[in-house]
Amino acid sequence: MRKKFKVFGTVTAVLSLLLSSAFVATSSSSAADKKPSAINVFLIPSPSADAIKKLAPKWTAKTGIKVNFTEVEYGTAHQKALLSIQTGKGEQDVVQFDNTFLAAFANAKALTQLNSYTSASKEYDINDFTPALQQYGDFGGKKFGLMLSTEPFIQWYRSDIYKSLNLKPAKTWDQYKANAEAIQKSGKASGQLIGYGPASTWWWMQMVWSFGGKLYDSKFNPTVDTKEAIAATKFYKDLLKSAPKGALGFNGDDVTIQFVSTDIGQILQYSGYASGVFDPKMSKNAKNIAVTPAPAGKVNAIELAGWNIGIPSDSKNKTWAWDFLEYMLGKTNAPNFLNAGAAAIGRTSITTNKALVAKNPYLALLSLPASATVYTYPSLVTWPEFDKVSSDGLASILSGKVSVEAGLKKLNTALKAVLAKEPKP
Amino acid sequence: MQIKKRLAKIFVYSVLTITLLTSLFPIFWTISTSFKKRVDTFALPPKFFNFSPTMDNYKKLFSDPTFVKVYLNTILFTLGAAFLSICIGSLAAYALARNPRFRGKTTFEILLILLRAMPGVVLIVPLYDLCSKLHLLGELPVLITIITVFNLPFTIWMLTPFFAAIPIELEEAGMVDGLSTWQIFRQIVIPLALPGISAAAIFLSLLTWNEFLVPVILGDQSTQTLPVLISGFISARTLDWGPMAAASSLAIIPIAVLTVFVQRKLVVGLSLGALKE
Amino acid sequence: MRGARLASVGKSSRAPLAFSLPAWILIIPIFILPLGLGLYLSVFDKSLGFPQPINFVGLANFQSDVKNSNFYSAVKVTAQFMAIAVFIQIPIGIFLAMVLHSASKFASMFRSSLLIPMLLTPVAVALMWRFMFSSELGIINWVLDKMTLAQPDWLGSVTAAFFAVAIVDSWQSIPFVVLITLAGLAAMPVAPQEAAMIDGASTIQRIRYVTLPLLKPVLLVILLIRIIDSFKLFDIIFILTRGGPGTATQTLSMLDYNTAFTFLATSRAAAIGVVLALMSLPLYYLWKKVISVSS
Repeated sequence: MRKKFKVFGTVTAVLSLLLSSAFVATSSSSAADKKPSAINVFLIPSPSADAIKKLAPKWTAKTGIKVNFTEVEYGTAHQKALLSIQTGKGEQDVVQFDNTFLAAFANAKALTQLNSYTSASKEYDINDFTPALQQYGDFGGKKFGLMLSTEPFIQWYRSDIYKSLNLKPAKTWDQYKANAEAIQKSGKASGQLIGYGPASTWWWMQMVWSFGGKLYDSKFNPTVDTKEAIAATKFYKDLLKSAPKGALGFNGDDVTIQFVSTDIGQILQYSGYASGVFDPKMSKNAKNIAVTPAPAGKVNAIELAGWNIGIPSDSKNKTWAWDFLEYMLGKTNAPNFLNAGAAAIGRTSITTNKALVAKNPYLALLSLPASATVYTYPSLVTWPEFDKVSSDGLASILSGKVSVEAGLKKLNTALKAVLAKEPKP
Repeated sequence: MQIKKRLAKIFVYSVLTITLLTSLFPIFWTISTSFKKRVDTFALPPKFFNFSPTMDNYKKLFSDPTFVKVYLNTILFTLGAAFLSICIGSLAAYALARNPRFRGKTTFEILLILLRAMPGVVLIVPLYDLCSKLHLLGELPVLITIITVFNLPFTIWMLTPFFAAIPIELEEAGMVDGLSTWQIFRQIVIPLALPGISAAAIFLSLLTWNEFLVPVILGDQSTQTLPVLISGFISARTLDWGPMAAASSLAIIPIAVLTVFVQRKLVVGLSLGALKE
Repeated sequence: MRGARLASVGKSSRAPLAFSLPAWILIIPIFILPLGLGLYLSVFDKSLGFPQPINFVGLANFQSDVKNSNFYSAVKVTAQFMAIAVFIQIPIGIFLAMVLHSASKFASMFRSSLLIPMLLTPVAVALMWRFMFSSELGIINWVLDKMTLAQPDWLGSVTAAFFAVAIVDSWQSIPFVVLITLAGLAAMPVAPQEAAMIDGASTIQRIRYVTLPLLKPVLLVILLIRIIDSFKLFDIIFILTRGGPGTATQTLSMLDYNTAFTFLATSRAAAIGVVLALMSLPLYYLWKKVISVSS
C-alpha cells in the first residue's frame, strides 16, 4: 500500500511540474488576415455596449462575418481582458475598456496601435473630432483606443426649482455653491449632489484642477497637499452641507439615480447618463431637468471621461476588427449609433447637427470650448490604486476624522508609494 | 411565585416574537417588494400591504434569456458539486472512520482545517492565474471540481461520524460472506449511512447554491450563477429595486421552501456533524 | 474463527485508506498547488499592468505590507468583526437558545424561522439589507424616524457602515449559534439540572454551574466555527459596502481582493494571501482542542 502511495505521489509531482511549465507565455506572430467566419468582441455592460450589440447584425449582413459577444461586468472586466490578451491566443478581436485603464493596457502592450488605421480612414475621419478629443485614446503619443463615448462633466439642474427661486445656471463654482445654498435653505430640495462615496476621486479631481492644482508633477511626485489642492478640497467638503443625507455612501451611478428619483437642485455628472435622465419611465423628474456646462474655477477645467474601444495586440483578425470598428464608429453611422441608445461620441458632425441637438440638448455641450482646459483621467499605469488610495484618504477627510490639511498631507505620502511603482518614461 | 412565573412567560414569549419578526421581516420585505410597481418600491411611508401587486418584475426577469440560463447553470453547478462532493467525500470519510490512526494523519488534518479556515481569496488569486494560463476559466467541470475541494473539509467532517457509527461487525459479516471491500462499502455501509449522506447532500447543495467568489472570479459569462447575477444589481443604473428584489427572491424562495420541508433532517445533520466535529 | 476475525480486521483497515485517494488527487492541484503558486508569486513583482520580465523581489512585498497603513487597518477591521462574532453573537445566541429551549412547544416553527436566514445566499441577503439600509428611502431609517431615534447614514458613514455589516452578519450567524446550542441543550442529560433545582439553585446559578459546563463541547464547536467564518467574511461586505466607506469595512480578505482585482497587483495580493494562510494555522490547535473535548 505504501508503495502504491509512493508511485502515486511521484506521478502527481511530475504532473504538477508539467503543469507549471505551462506558465511560459506563448506569443504568436502577427495576424493572418484572411476572412474569418466570426470575430469576438469583448464588452462591458453599458448603453454603448447595448448599441453595439444592436447594430452588429447590420455589419454581419454586409461582410458575412458573425460577431460573438462576451460581456463582463465592470468590476472584473479589465483584469479578465488583460489576462486573456497576455495569453497571446487571440481570444478577442475587439475590446471595450474604461479610459482609466488605458495606461495600464498600453503599458502592458495589450493593444494594437491604431494610428495607421485612423490616419488612412476616410470613413472614420479623425478630423471630425476636435484636437482634444482626437488624443483621447493616446498613450505616450500613440493611439491605442478609439473614443467610444464622450462624457465630460456637465451640470444638470432642476429647471422648475430654479424658476421658482429665480436662479440662473452657475457659470462659476462660487455661483454653483450659492445656488446650492439657496435651494437648500428654501427647503424645496437638497441643494446639490456630487460624488463623495467610492467614486469621490472623479469629482475631487475636477475640483482640484478647477482651483489650478495638479495631482502630480512631471516627475510623478504627488502634489495633492499644495495650497490649491487644499483650497479645492475645503470647497469640495463644504459643498457637503447642501448635499442630501447619505451622500457619503453614493457611488457614481447613485448621483444620477438620486437626482432623477428624489428632489435635488443640481448635480455635476458625466453627460453619458443622458438616456436614463430624460426617459420618463426611468426618471421621475425627467420633464424638469436641464443641462449647462460645468462651472469654472480659476481654471476652466473640464474633466473628460468615457469608454474606449480598441484591438487587442494578440488578435488574429486585426483587419476585420478594424473594419468592424470603422463601420460602427464611423461618421456615417454616428447618428444611428446615437439613436440606438449609446452615450454620444462627440464628433463635430454630431454636436453641430441641428436636428440631433434639438432632440438631445446635451449634445451641444460635447463640443468643448477652446477656452477650456480638458483633463482626461491621469495617464497612470497605477491609476486603479491611485484612485482607491485617494478616495480612501478623502473618506477620512469627509468624515471629519482628520482635518483637510492633515488628511491631504497623509494622502500625499501614501500616493508617493503608489507613484513610485509607475514606470519611468 | 405566580407573578414570577407569569413574568417569565411574558418575557419568553416577547423574546420569541422579536426573534421571529427579526428573522422573517427582511424576507417578507424583499418578497413583497418584488411584487411592487417601481413607484411603490421606494414610497414613503413604506407600503406594507397597501399596494397593488404586479408580476412585471418577474416577467422582466424571465423574459431575459440570460436569466433563465443563469438559473439553469446554478442548478447544474449545485447538483454537480453535491454529487461529486458526496462521492469523493464519502470515500474519504469512510477511510478516515475505519483508520483512526495512520501515517500522514496529522498532515491530512492540518490540510483540512487550513482549507476550511483560509479565506477564499487566498486560493482564488493563484487559481485565477493558473486557470487563465490553462484556459480553464469558465469551464463548469472545473468550477464544480474546485468547489468540491473547497467543501471537502465540511463533507468529511460531517460524514465521518456517520460512518464510524456503523458497527464494524456488519462489515466483518460481509467479509466472511466473501464480499470485496468495495462491495461491502457499496452494499452494506452506504445504505446504513444514507441518513447522514442525504443530510450532507442537502447542505452541500446549499453551500454551492450560495457560492459567490468562485463563480464570479473563475467563471465567465456562460457559467454565470445566480449569486453572480444578483451581485450585478448593485450598480443598477436606476433605482430598479423591483427586479433586484425579484432576483433575490428567486434565490431565497427555493431555499426557504426546502428548509421547511427538510427541516428536521437539516438539524439532525447540522447537530450531529457539529457535535462530533 | 478467531484467527479469521483478526485477519479480516487487518484487511478491512488497509484497503479503505485507498478510498481517500480521490480526495488527494483533487486536493493536490486545487489546494496544494495554488498555495505553492501563491507563495511563489509573493516573492516576485508580477502585476497585470506591467509586462514581463518579472523580477524576484524577495520579501519586498511583505516589507511594504508592514509599512502600509492599509494593511494594519485591515487587520484591525478583521479583528473587530471577529470580536463581534465571539463576544456578541455567541452570547446572544446562547441566550436565545436557552429561552427557546424553555418554550419547546413551538420548537419546529422557530427552528424554520431561524434556519432560513442562516441558509440564505449571503449575496441575496446583503442586497436585501442594502436597500433596507438606504439612508433616505430605506425602511430601517423610516422606522427609526418614527421612533424619534437618530437615523445614521448606514452605508456612507464610517462607523455606521461597520455596524451595518455586523448587523447583517449577525442576522445570518446568530441563528447558527442558536440552533447548535439548542441541539446541545436537547441532548443534555436532565438529571444534573434537576438535581440543581432540587438543591435550590437559582436559574442563573444553575446555568452557570451546570448547564454551561455541560455545553462545553458544543460551545467550543460554535466558537471554532464562528472564529473561522468571521475571519473569512467576504460576500456580505462585498455587496454591502465593498470595503468602504474608505477602508472602514475593508477586512484582510477584501484588501487581498482589491489588491488582486482592482489594482491588478497579483504578487502583492499573493503576499497578503500568504499572511492570511499563516494566520489560519493556529486554528489547527483550536480544532484539536474541540476534537479532544467532544470525544
